[in-house]
Amino acid sequence: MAIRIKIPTPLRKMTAGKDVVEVEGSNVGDALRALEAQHPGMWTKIVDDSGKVRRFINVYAGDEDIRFLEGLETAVDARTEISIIPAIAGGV
Amino acid sequence: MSVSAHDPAQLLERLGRQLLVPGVELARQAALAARAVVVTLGGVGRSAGALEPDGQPGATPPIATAAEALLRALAGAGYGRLGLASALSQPVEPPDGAAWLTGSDGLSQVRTAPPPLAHVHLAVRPYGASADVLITESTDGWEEGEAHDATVATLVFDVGAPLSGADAIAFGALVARLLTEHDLGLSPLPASLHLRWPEDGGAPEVHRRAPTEGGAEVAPLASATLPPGLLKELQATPEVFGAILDHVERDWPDEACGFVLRHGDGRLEAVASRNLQDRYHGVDPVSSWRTSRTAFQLDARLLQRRLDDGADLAVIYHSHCEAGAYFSAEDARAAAPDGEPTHPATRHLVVSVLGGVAKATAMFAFDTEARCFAAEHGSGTLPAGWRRGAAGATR
Repeated sequence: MAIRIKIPTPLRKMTAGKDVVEVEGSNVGDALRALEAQHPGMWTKIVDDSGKVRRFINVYAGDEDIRFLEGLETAVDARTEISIIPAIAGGV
Repeated sequence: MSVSAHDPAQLLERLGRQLLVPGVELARQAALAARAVVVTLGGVGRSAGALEPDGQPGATPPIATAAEALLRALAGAGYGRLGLASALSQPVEPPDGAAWLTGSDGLSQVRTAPPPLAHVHLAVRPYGASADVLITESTDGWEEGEAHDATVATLVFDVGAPLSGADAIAFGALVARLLTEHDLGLSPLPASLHLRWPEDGGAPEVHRRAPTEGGAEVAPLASATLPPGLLKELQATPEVFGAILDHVERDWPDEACGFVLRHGDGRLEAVASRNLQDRYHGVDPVSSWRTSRTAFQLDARLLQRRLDDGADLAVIYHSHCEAGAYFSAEDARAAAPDGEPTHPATRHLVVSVLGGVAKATAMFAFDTEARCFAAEHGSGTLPAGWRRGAAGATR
């Protein structure tokens, strides 16, 4: 079952310019590991050493950030598009 | 944890007594008389319902009790200027022995309080309560856009449920103690202090983030600033610039954020975003230790949808409350996490909002030679009444 992952502009140099990559997987973590298998180096751009999504990266399953769902365990199916979007953030 | 075994009125009264901090010279403690502390309360005016205790209409909300404990303890330690900017119907009783800054509208005196100034923002959270502390020692150089990073701290009191009345006094007194110890040079405020009480009632778990922790070194601003560009164009487009200033003033004392699109015909459009920072802080106050008082997180899905319509992202804007219009270390880390800007062609507008009024604006771009963010010429204090002249609008 193919899951679509939308790749943000700054990471497309690692996907040969592709803005969407199709992978197999039943949750977000599996899908991102499949993305890593196709395009090595992607995992560490998205996930930090402690296994959490990096501080200034947001991963969405459909319209919701997975931090508000089950994190990398969030279940996905062919109807769910995963989007990787750099956070736009900051502070004093 | 609980302090309910004691009489709240007695506890509050005791906090307000003159108190000598051990190990500190009298003259040093007396210098606290020159310092101002202004307290704001989270949610007032926007989600005031969250501040009212369940089923007790008219009762003092816990966050107001925390504010009273904080202000009384600060007065007891010798702080000379204290203020509460609050829309609460039941105002906190002013402590004895301190000049009371708050005017009848709750804001007028806060706007004119000169530094050294600490702004403490107390808020009820799903897990308990938080206090954001921002200390401004001086506003020297703000008019020239030279302001530096302020001292920022988030203190989290995690009791597993929204703060209740009994714990509110303990929370207010704790915040006062940490602020006093910082201002007396005994112990610097941590960037974040997360205290989490286990359900079995044992001692709290403590997560402390050192003041410098969690931040890469940020290069100083390039000495040569960029020529006037987008800032001048924005200021000459009053319906866009005015919309941004109205938005950031409306959301004070929370940071506001949004973006400016450039359409195919060259037209600029300001789009206000929600600041999602409190939502992130609510689910994980350890990783997202800052609240919307001192940080912003733009609605990236909203931005993506608008960019899919074919416009260009010209500017990302956000405000700094009770701080200058500078590009902070936190701003630089977020805009270029690996040293490479995420949106290289986009500029960043920062608006300084003091006491609810937009005072200064600065526009920043990534300087590809200096490898850091630099300000455009013309960044700095807004001329008084400029909006009236530019737009024919009144303030």
